[in-house]
Amino acid sequence: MTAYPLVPAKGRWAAFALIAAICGLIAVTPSAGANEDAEQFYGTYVGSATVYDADGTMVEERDMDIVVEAAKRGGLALTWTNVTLVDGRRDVPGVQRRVDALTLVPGDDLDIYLEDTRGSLFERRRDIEAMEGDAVRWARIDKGRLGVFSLVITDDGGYELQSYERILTDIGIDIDFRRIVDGKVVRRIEGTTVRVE
Amino acid sequence: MLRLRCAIGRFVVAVILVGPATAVAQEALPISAFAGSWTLNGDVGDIQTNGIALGEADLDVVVEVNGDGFRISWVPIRLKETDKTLATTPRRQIEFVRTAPKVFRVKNAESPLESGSLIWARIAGSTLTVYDMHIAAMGGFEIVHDARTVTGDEMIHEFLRIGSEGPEGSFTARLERTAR
Repeated sequence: MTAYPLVPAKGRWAAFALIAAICGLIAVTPSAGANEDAEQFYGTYVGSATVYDADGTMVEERDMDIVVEAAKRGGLALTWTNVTLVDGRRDVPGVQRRVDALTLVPGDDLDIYLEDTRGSLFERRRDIEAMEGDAVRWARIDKGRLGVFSLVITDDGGYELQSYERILTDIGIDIDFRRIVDGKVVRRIEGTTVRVE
Repeated sequence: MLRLRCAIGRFVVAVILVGPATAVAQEALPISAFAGSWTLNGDVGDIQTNGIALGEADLDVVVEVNGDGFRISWVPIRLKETDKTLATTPRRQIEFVRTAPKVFRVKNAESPLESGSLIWARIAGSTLTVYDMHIAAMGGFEIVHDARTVTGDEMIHEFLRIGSEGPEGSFTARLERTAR
């Protein structure tokens, strides 16, 4: 019995190329679910936060802005601005303002995002050497929580871990930040924001 | 199975005397001070891990000096993904190599960003701590500390588990050296 190929010989290479292209597309495109998870955070938020030290004493109050938007390669970009208040005011000397930004892209393994350290598509991502002091950074979205985590092993073999959770609410995003040094929470920040109309 | 009993404060005095907090200021012990077979001596105390059950030998540990580094055999306690409780996992042996005077890395290291565990160890004062960090199933973090403080032939084992998912947990156990 003769076996008949499903695709004529002339078209086999074309079919192969088409399948390869589709597979490649699937490999580099984040799943629809991942995008939907990220999209629910897109927006601009304003609010305030309170900083506590290790024993729960309030250290300072801050105003904050958070911007979450789409980034290249299926990622998301976060920009957040903190204004540390002086006696609850931001119009007196001593006020400090700090802006931080982070771009996350879907990771190859696990269902996580990684910090985008590439300047372009063609620049190889730097390998992380945790024992050399490199920070291990990643993020995840789970049940309306966008968590960004960073772990650094210190020179003496201890560690510092920062956990920054942004939690969707009906009106905006709440934040829950913990800085953990060798198992002890040495700083905690709790805050509330509203989505800007 | 030996069901752990809550005995808060049972080892408080011992921990205060030889615990990690005081150990930092001391000169770090050589790894040879931790070498030997260590066996549970008495009950496990200060339990903050409800529901965890340990076998008779689950806290026993063997430390062997290996060049600049060491090998350690122990029963890891981790979060069970099915019901989010802490449970023992099969006994494992890991080989550490020295990377700094009192800091050690696993010989065959894995990347936590690629489903592996980041495991390392350090000696601070009279305490040898093995850290095991990995990314949990839903993408959060889990870090387990096994801090073992030695005074002569006595070892205080302080276990601590923290994570973004599941219960945090801790306990303290006293072990004695049964062989070098």
